[in-house]
Amino acid sequence: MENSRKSSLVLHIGVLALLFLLSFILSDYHQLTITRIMVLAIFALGYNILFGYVGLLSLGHAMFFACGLYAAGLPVYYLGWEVPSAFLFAIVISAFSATLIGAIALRTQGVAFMIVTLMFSQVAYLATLYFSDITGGDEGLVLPEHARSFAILGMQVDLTSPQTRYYITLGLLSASVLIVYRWVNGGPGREWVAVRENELRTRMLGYNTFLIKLKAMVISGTLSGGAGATYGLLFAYIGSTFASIQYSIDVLLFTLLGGAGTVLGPILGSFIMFYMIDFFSGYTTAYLLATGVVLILLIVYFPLGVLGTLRKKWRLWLP
Amino acid sequence: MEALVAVSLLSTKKLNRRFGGVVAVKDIDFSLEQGEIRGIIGPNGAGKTTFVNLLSGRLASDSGQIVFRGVDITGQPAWKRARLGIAYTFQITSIYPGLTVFENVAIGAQMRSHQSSKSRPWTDWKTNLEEIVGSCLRMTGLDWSRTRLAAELAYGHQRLLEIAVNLAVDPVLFILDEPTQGLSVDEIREFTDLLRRIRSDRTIILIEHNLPFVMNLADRVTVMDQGGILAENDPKGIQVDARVKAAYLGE
Repeated sequence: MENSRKSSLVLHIGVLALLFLLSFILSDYHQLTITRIMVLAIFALGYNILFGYVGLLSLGHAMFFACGLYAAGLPVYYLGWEVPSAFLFAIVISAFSATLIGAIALRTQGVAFMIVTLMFSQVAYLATLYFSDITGGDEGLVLPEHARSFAILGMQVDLTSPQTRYYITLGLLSASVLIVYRWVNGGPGREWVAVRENELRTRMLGYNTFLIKLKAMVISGTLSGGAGATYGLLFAYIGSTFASIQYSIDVLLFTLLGGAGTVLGPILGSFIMFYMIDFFSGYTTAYLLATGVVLILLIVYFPLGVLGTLRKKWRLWLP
Repeated sequence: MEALVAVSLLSTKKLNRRFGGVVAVKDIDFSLEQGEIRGIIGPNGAGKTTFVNLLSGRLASDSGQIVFRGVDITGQPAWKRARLGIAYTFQITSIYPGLTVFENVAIGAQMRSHQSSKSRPWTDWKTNLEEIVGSCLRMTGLDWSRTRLAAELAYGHQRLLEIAVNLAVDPVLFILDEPTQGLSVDEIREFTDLLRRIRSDRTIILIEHNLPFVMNLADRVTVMDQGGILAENDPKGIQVDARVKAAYLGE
């Protein structure tokens, strides 16, 4: 067991190192694509904590992504905030709203939880449209010039450079992966899985399962919000689309496809799905159809996803 | 006079619980001494499981009071009661089928290490956990199955695993709801031995239909009927009690 633990840590670091090495050979265009994918991967990583480890299926995670997006973008746009402070602000606001929404939504279970999260998310989405004087609604807002660069530790960071954006995102993704990896392999992960596998038994052993779920929801929402903030700040654009149901479904798909309940699964899923949609949209404008077909195929034939299936087949030790 | 009254580990006063029009548990006054094995028997529908569910906190009582180790736990949720030392094994085995045997027990062990070693560094905490799991698996004779999935174990072993998981939390009081249900004669014998080992430093409440098993193990037996306590005595006394015979045989 110790050996496989070591090799799994090597695997995780290896994947991150590979992404780093890729930056030297990729063209600007591909760097941009992978930057986007990595941001979505952070989103999926956060989603997976709640879905994959705690077993709670949320249909409303777009609201956390959008929460981070707007909480970072609006102060920059209206108040002239600097990028780092806007980012930190977005993290705090995301954690706060996840706590609030979790405290309410977690009173429900199963299908009711799906519906409540979906409902909250729709409210958030419609609010971004309703207040389009402020949010820019569907058209969105393009962040001003001053937010395209910032100074940190005496260094000037230029956010218009594809390379810089790539490294920033990779840095955030690596930090997220390593933190999640550690949690999943430690005490918190054991509690999450215990709730997923048998909540009543877990409660009867002395665990406050509501608190466990709430904490997981806050972590999940904060990571998702962090991804949203990153997206908005790096690409200097915030818009309602990111709050729409499509993003909630996409993140579920990424996680299912790669393998729910594995750390690397959501990342792999984000890559496969992104390129698959890219491929289909070359042939048809109905590329959303591909999303639907993949979802159905996954549920029928492949419920464990790529890494989940590998883990089961070879009894690999993958966290 | 107060000083002469033995302090009981757990006691209930006028405990009630109804489901709609059915009174499942009615005005039960119950008292349990530290270290004893108490059998609870009674015909189907007597309210045995409801009663112990009120003790474990899985169900809330409508009225009455429950005191455990001097603390009024009546209003406390199940997880708090578990932390105070009340363990419960379900009538229908409840484990983590998708996880390995080791992980099953580790979930219980983590609860204990959390509580006992909050101040200790992380590494110490981890070794501690392995030790607890190891000792619980050895105690229940499941050491060989560490890396197996719990779902792959035979039914009797799953029952033992549920005991091991609870043992890892280090409870003061074990409530076992029909532990021998579905076990073979040999398995029941092993189970009896296991309970004898567990009891050395714990108190046990045993709900059972298997009368020879209860009479063999229990120090005292409580007979329930129609939501109330019909009789309470040592096993010998119960076996000759006319009211008990009547309730069981309908005489």
